[in-house]
Amino acid sequence: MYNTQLLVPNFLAEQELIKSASREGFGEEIVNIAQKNPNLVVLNADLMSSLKLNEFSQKFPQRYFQVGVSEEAMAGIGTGLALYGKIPVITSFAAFSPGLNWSQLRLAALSMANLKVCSSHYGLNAGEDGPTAQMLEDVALMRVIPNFIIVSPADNNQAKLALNAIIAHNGPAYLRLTRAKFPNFINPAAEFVLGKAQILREGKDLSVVVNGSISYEALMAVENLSSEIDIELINLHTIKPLDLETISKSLAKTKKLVTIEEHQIMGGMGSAILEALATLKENPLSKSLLIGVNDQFGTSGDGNMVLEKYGLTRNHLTERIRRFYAS
Amino acid sequence: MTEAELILKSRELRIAVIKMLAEAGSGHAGGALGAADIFTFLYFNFLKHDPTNPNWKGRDYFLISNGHIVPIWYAALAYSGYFPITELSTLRKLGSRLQGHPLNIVTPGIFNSSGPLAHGITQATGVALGLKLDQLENRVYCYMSDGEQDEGAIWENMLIANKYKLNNLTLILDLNKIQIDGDTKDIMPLPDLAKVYETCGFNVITIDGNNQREINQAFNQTSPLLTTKPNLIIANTIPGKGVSFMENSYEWHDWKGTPEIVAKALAELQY
Repeated sequence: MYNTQLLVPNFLAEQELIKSASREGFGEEIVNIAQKNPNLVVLNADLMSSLKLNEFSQKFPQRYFQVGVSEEAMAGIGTGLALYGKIPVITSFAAFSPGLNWSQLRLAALSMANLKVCSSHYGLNAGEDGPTAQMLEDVALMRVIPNFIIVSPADNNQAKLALNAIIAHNGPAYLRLTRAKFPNFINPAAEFVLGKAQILREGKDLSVVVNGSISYEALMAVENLSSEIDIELINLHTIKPLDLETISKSLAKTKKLVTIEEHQIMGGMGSAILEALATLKENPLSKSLLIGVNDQFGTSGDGNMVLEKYGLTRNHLTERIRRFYAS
Repeated sequence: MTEAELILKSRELRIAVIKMLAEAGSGHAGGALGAADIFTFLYFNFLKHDPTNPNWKGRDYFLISNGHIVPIWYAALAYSGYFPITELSTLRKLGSRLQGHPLNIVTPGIFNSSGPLAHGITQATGVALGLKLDQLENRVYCYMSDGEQDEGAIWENMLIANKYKLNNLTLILDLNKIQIDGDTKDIMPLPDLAKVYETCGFNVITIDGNNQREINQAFNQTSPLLTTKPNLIIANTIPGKGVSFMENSYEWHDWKGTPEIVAKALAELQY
């Protein structure tokens, strides 16, 4: 049974849903937040249009720092601004931030700097840009840094809520944004709490945990299987800190876990969940399937076709979950 | 302080550094001793700061980018009153506030954490940008090393400081001509850094960084009233300065002291 409070009314009618990239919502919402919060400043490394910062840069020219193609310096400058007392948001592609500036981010976290890292172009959905841009390792990189929280919103509506939440949070945070457009299916009025997973559909047979860009595909797969398997679908928008309570409660019912993410399986959300479950006195898990990218790089092409090639579209997901459940 | 008093104070700080490293059994000697004169000048004669209120709004911001020279920073802070001098003997020990490299969240007076090179300078740029944004007149100083100039982010930061005309920022480049593996001329020959920084829009002042008179003159030329550019003070220093057998030797980048060596070093400094 779907939790309709968390979803838009017509969430299953894909054709009726507005499609947008979460970087678009980021660009809109950052302007709204800046109007209320004078401490917010934004840094950008020559990707203003890509991060949809045109409006921000025009409305707040004093609070917008274009640092050129300097992701390392951007992270360090952001750290300095945070230590000084501002709330800096550094923006780039995930391949460059944290890809290029991980050491600066690590030092920011060690220093408890109130730095916000907002990066787009994670995952295979970066499509035509090819494997150098399709960042599939960002969660792995950020998970291992103490103090950082990691948020991977399920759609554009949730990205706006997530942005507000990480700005309000006092501490370093990483927000993942998409290049590609996906259906907006999360109710924008639904409550968003950092670190609190959302049960989008209650079920008793199997738990599916998903985050970010691939969430709607996972929902469609769950819907495809609805007459065969009663699936509990969990949106783990906050990957760190991990909401082990919600997941272990779900598994206490279902015993079976499938995780789905647009990321390397190694070091991703699925492996984070398994690590956390292993610490429990009584691990409810009987079997698990981690779906993601399996120790390989992406490839250039239309985003949907690339996802199809890597087995991450709804039909593949449907079949993989079906086989796993039957096995 | 008078010049003579500063010279005496710098000797005190050097002695503190040797004692700290001797007690810790590891750490970095060469750079810390070479930087002692500038740290003494800054903390006892120049920086606006309040040891009883490290976060005083009117303070100047001092950062370091070459975190390994931290023993001299700790010595300067302790002798200025940020924490007890006796605490210096805890350097690098379990539970100490004096970590092997500076850590802002534990030590009074330490504004930035440092260790990985070319990070502190970018943080200093961030502080300078924040102050400009708030139209405040506090100034920002950041100490860095010459080996550090090998890092790519040095270039990124140079361009950005120039773009934003950060005349409230002064970088101090400790040109001591050594790095961990050897002399900089052998490990990675450096270009004429004065020319490089000048070309990139900096106001460059070159001095003998172990001479109080020249240090004083240099810092007094960095006022935003005098320049529209970010400042660079190139301080030619002698690594290991004050202990004859440590001077100009990259082998003393790291601490290698035995009780005999410590006694000899202290004898020279207390002379």
